[in-house]
Amino acid sequence: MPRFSAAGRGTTAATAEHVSAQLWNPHASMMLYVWEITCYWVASTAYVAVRRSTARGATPASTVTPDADNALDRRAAPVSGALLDLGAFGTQPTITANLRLYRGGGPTNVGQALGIFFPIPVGVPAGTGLCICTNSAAILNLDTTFVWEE
Amino acid sequence: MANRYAVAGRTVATAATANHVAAQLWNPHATKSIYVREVWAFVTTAASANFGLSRSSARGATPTATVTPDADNAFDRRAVPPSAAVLETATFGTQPTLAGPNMAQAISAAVIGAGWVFGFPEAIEVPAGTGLCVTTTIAAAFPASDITFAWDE
Repeated sequence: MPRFSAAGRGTTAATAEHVSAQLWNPHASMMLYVWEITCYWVASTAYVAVRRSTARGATPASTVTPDADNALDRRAAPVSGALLDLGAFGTQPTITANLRLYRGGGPTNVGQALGIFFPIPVGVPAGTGLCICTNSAAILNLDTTFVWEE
Repeated sequence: MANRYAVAGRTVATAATANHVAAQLWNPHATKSIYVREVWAFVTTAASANFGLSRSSARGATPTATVTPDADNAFDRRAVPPSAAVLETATFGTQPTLAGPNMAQAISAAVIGAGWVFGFPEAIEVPAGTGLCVTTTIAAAFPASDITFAWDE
């Protein structure tokens, strides 16, 4: 199963449950399997949550479209058409219950890292996403990398 | 069985220009892929590094230094890399041509010795005539750094 990796820098407002990064699966039927998420604090205190999304939201600050260069074997672009949306969003994704919660460090801890590794990958069904969100009313500003298979 | 190699070098700071390359592992072979297992980067000055990992599709030109691995860079010390892979370090007179969105991003503390060891249990394949680069993701210099690549071929 081909493995892909894509990354970007996203931020949020100082509002709880806002999304700084979302791996969105726009495919009509196929599933993604997320193995890793890594976050590096660019600035700001942060509580971080991993949540699913059931609606994509709109107008992210930027969207990364992975191509064949994001495949570890560089053979083909992701068949799913998976996208990495980076906050802040004009319209927030619709998020569901927490999968995991983490506490980030203070504003002087630029470069603090959070590596989230799933021994069993998190399935992201067609037409849904997986998000890094604030879990308190504090800004998130992170370099985030998603690694997945499909 | 594939053989493993490692090579390292100290870069100088890049220009304060987004997507400038701090170091590139370039595979000049006509047909043979190499398989990157690890990338290490540690800053040698008290400045923050905005790390990006990106492929390159054209080599660029006139790096400050080029490290040519020999048999001493092989873990078994038997032979030079058949691919003739080389490590090139910043700054470049002509930047490598980056290909595709970043595969990974990170930021370091502004402290000497801050950095990363990225391991890839599933190796990153670098096809013939392409490279893998450490870049600065924003318009800030990637500070002078010690950078190591380990790969199989």
